Amino acid sequence: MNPILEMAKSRFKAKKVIAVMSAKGGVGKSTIASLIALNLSERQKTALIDLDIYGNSTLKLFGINKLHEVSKEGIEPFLVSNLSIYSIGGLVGDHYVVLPGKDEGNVVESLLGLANVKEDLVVIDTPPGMGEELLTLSRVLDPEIYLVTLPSKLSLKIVKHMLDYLFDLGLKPKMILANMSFLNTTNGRIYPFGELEPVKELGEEFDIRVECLQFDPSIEEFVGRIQDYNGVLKEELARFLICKE
Amino acid sequence: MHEWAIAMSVVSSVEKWALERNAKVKKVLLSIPSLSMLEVEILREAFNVIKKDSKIADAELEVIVRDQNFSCRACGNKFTLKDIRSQLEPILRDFGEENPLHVVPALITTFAKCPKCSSHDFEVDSSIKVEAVEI
Repeated sequence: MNPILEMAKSRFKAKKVIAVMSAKGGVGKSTIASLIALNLSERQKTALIDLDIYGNSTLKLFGINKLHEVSKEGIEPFLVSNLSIYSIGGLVGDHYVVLPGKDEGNVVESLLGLANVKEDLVVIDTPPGMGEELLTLSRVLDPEIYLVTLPSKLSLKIVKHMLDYLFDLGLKPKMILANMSFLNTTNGRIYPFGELEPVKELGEEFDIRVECLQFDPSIEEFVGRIQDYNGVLKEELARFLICKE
Repeated sequence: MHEWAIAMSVVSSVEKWALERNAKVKKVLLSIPSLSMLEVEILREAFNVIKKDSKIADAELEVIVRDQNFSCRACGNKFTLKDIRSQLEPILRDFGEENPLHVVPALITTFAKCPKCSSHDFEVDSSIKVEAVEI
């Protein structure tokens, strides 16, 4: 009997969990996860759990350089207004993380089991790809999935594999978010990855809603203080994700 | 400190197990890795307090502290916690009581290396598990 796994399962049983996933790295998943969580936290208390144990981008996005407090009830969150943030980076500090395969699952299980999450709404920033962390996540939770991708040919090929895999697990994503799909300029709209038809066709093939997000270069200025960002990307996500909930 | 959270997880998972079988639990055998540095007395105290409000109020907790056998996947070297203790001293010093290995023992490969070949790629059972339930 694995008490930590049981604890993780019971902790999240009655909560609404949104998992932000991506088939490959570098598509803006952590930024999207953070903005979704920030949007949701404007309406109700929300938890954001960073399970990307190697990247730990969440803490860098929010400019958090502290360690988690650990209480009788488990790992206590970093608080940013109405948002409670948990990350393995808050345990290891500024140290790289090296984990052989099955230990990845154990670490994810421990973080989910020991994070003292009180909020009913939880956003999880998952690691890219289809590794052990994703298997662990599906052991513990039944999340609503938002799959982030770039609308590039390479990304879409890998996303298709991920969709096949998720469907095999019985998990159908709620939405595909095609990040950096276009850039609005004074000279009109630019499509850095070309036509958006392929990503829309992929959505049709799997019967999943696709939303194409615009690229906002100003977001770079908010790395380390993403909680202060109120630009178009956050607005778009609010429109797609909250108003239609 | 998080021994209380561990004890809570043990009580609730054994209680669930017992309810599914309509069983009366006499003893719970919990196995913890020595590298977790969990305090057995705090675990036992927490278990005894938390169990009072559960269906396993009469259960006794026995804790086994496992000494780990480490096995390097790079060079095949077998070693023990004693062999890497000096590597862990800076973590204990810098992080204090609630150090990462105390909270998540599976992080051991992040902070330690094989003493023979310096690889982080070694295996060890760092899990916390209920080994047996006596009814």
